[in-house]
Amino acid sequence: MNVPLAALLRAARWRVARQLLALAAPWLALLAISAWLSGAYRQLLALALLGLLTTFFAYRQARALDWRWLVRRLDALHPALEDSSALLIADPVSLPTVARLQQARLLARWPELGMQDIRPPWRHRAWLVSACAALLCALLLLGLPRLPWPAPREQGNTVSLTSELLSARLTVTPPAYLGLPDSVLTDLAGEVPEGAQLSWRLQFSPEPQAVSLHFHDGTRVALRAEAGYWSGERRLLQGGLYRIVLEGAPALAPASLYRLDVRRDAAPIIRLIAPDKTLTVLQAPQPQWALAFSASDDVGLGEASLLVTLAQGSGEQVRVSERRQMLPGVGEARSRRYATTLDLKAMGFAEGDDVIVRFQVQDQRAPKPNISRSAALILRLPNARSADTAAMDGLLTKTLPAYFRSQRQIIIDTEALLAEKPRLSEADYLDKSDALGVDQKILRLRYGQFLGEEFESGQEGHAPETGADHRADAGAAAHTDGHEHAHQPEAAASSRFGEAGDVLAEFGHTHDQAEAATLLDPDTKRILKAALAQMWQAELKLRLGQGEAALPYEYQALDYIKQVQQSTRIYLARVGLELPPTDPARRLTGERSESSPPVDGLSASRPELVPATALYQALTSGSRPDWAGFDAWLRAHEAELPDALGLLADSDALQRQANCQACRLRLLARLWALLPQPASHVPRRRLPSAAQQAYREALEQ
Amino acid sequence: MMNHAGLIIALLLAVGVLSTALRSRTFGQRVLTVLAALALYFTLLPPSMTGRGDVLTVLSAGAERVARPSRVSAPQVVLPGVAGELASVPDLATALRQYPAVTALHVVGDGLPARDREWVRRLGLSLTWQAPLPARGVQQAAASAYAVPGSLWRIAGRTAGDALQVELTDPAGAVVARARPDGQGEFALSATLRGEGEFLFGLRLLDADGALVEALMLPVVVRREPPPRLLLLAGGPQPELKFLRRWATDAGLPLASRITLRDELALGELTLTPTELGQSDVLILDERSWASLSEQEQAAIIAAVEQGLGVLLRVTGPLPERVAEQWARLGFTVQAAPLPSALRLGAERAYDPRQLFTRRPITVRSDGAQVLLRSDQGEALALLRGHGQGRIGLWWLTDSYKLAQSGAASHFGALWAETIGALARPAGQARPELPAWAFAGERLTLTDVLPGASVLNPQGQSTALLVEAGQAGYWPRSAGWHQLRQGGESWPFYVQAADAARRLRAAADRAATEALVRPAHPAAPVSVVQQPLARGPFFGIFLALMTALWWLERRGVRAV
Repeated sequence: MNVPLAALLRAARWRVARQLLALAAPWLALLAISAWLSGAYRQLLALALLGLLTTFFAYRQARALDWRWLVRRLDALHPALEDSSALLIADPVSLPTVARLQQARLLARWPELGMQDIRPPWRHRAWLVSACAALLCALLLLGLPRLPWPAPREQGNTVSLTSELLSARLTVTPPAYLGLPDSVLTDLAGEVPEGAQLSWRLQFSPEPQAVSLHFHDGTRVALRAEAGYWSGERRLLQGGLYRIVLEGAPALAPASLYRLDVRRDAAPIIRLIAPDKTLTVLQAPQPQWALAFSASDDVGLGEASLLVTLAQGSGEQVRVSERRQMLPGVGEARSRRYATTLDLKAMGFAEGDDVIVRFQVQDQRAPKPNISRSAALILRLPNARSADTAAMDGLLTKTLPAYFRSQRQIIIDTEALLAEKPRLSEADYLDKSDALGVDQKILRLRYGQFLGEEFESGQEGHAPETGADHRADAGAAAHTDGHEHAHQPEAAASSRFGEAGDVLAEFGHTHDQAEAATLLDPDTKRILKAALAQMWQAELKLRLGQGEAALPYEYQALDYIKQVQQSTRIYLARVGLELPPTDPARRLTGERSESSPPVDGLSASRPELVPATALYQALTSGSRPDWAGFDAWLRAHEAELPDALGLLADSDALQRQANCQACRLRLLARLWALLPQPASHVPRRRLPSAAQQAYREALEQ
Repeated sequence: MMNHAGLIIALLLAVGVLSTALRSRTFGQRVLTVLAALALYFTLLPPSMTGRGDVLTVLSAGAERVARPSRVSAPQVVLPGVAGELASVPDLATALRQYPAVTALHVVGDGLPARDREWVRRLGLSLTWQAPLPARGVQQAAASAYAVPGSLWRIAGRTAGDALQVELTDPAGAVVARARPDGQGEFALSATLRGEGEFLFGLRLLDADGALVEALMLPVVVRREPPPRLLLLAGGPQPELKFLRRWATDAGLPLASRITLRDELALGELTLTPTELGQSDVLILDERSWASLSEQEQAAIIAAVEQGLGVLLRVTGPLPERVAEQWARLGFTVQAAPLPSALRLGAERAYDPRQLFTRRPITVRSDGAQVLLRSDQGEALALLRGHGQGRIGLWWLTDSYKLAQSGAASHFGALWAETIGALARPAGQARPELPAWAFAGERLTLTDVLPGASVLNPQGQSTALLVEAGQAGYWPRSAGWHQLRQGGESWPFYVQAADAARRLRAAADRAATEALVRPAHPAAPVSVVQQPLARGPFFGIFLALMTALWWLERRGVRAV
């Protein structure tokens, strides 16, 4: 009675479960591989779930095989069991007699049947199909992007007109000192730290022969082909726009311009803690000076130093000594506090001395650090004596303007004097005539300067002259009152014509000024010299009180001067006067209606027409914009404009797609900021519509 | 009908119950059968309860911010847009069809949208309203949709919520004006318009921490308009004239002037002839030049005003009696008064609100005049009055040039441009009236539209409009600049995105709902309606009973 039916059933169950697991296995493997390749953890979760589900179904299928299934299976497989295999399971005690007999028969037959394999057959073909399908999927997943042939286009065109960027990867390696990890820009644009090393890794379809990146400033980066990828590097110091240019392949489908902005490393910011003002004036000597600063930086602070300058002494005896002293900071890398105390006593700081201190701190920018300097801090211990002049920080200069008469004025004055002569006393006449002579002298000297003549008179002690000449030296300032007899040499010396503070002229003796002498051409020089000679004569006569005799010389001098002046003039060709033709029908009728309406004399100011305005007007009016002029202007003013790169990008987009309405609006909005502000135009009242007009007329009736 | 149906159902059920109950073996089964039949009956014909059938509670958007009783005896519907609740009806009209006896609405929330307000008005329903506090955001923002280059474009608005700041950004995205709303939440911003074309300014509402609360787009179409021809007469040179002439010339106004220097000597050679006046749009003169005009010239001016000319009378000194008399006949009775002459113009007009200006110390009486310019205290500084087809203005601010002198030339220009624009002969083309705010997916009405007009949407598709009595409706599908095209002209208007400016739209709904509020007449009879109970619970009971019966039956079979 030892029929191993239970074992048979178990085997069948295992077969069914294994069958299902075998069918699912290729797909699970596929999922696992794709999860591993893409690093997506969500897929791992799905994998686990699918595994569990498969196990569950396998279990369910296995459980579905029960004793009844076994019985049916045995009956179907072995006709020898005579459809009575159910008896094999039944308890012989509870069976009726006939059944027991049959059971006994079966049991007797059982060994003949042998250990029959009743497991369902292994479904090789199904497994094969499943595995093949999974393999195909795997191949599609893995191999598709690298297939050598171009990806089929949706339109079904066999020839692709544009290239495609299959994968793009821009790795940004920030400068080492920043301590930042590499980042990846998949859209090939963005903000990168200054000085970052950029490396591109691009893949195209179809494969081009050469690829280069064209930057907006004209530089190019040629990419090299490496195992199906195109890669290249560049260090970025300034923001820019670039475009990918392919050779041997059609242009990229969206010919977009990529924008790289540079995030600059800011210079450290210094804050003054003590002292609280830049100039500290001590009332009494003190032995020490406490200084405290704080500095902060966006990346990290470098070394800090203090430049101490000691200025000792006063007047021309100032001695300046400088030294630099390193300052250690307290705090973290980005924000530190620096404090020190200067030992004034050791420095020899005394009354009347200044200590000037500048704090300087670097950051860690490489290769050249940013340096920030604080304002100069001054510690001053004023001299007791100089205390009251401490605020006088400037040199007072006493300069009088140069007054002198023109040659023509001298002639007019001389003629007036001659006309007045009968009514004047002899002395008065001489006095006035002499004054005119002084004026003539001043004028002569003035012109003489052009010839490099020495400024020969007017030096006290150098060229002793008469009292009258003293007055002449005093210049027109003294001359204006005309009656200055009580002459004071000191005052005259200090207010000498146009030459106050001219030490060289006062004590030295300059002859020809080479520069002045060579300024004029020989011809002009000759005429000028002749004029000067005439002036000499005129001066002589005037000083002698011979006005009548002086006049011809004066006229001659004026003539010469005019010749000189006119020799440098430019003459234009004469044009005839072109009046509008007279309308005889309207002439002398007094009718003004036909004439042009009177206009105000003002003319409108024209704001400077920068290319931005011109482009703006062209864009709004629909005429052809001058892109070349605008681009050139933009490149020239890149540093001054708020967002030149954005402007470049937008103008480029519109240039490429002339009928892109959105691009046009974007560029207009950007240009807005560059437009000059016009004078306010007048908003007009609207003409009434027909209905309004009718209503109004009805009201009025 | 109903009763017949009920009777038939009841009879059928009774027959069914009897036949079943007779075959039932236990008492319990019989009882259950009867109960199940009852439940089925009530499922089919639910019993009614009496309730107030004339009041319908309507939950509109924003109702979630109102504390309301959880149970309501009156019927209640939920309109779309209430957070946290499923809409029970797509719109009010549907609800009103479901409850035909309703004569009054109780609205909870931010109010009814436009499509629903129509029905309240049409059916003459009385309405009570339970409104929440307005949500934080821009409630109102008004700015002219069309403006001229160089003008000062003003935006006035109102916000809800406190500790806010409003910023105006220009089309390039830079902040051009900032304001802090006052106690009522009102704010005013302005910007100078530079170029010509269609532009989108941004209005941003920031909270106390500077975080963005709401951002709106404000469209403006900047267009050149025909400049008015300006005549300027003055009895003597003044700085005001210098700056006025400078502005007018720069702004492209054809200008003719005569500024008397002394007898028989004047700057400019303007003579006032009827032709000259007829060709011009505005004449500016002062009391001295008026006094020097001949009677014919004065009569010519008045005749020209009746034909549409605008005249601005500037008071620059004490008025001679004769001039005062003549001006009184034009509608301005001017009297000297001991008033302080210093004043300020306020932030709207002056770049620096503290800057002092001077006016003539006069009081002006004028019937039906409109104030053209006010000081920051609200005192009039210029008046405007219609005369025939034209307009006459009186101006007694004497030193507006200080604006230009202190660097705010744009404010000076804006002041005079607006003044001259108000006075000048009308010239701008009649413009179709376009909605100030249009939203994608919301119907909008265009007024003063000519037959044959069409609308061009941003995608370049043209839709012909059906114009009826100068009006046309348009249903924009997408946001962006649309163009109304008619008679060879195109008028751009901007359609906002469907979800833009939600607070502003809610505020508009509130204001419109507020206008509809009309409590029911107290003497109106309260209608009581039989409101059927819900069928759901009865069906549930029926199902439970039937399940029990089925189980009992099955157990009986097993037992056998």
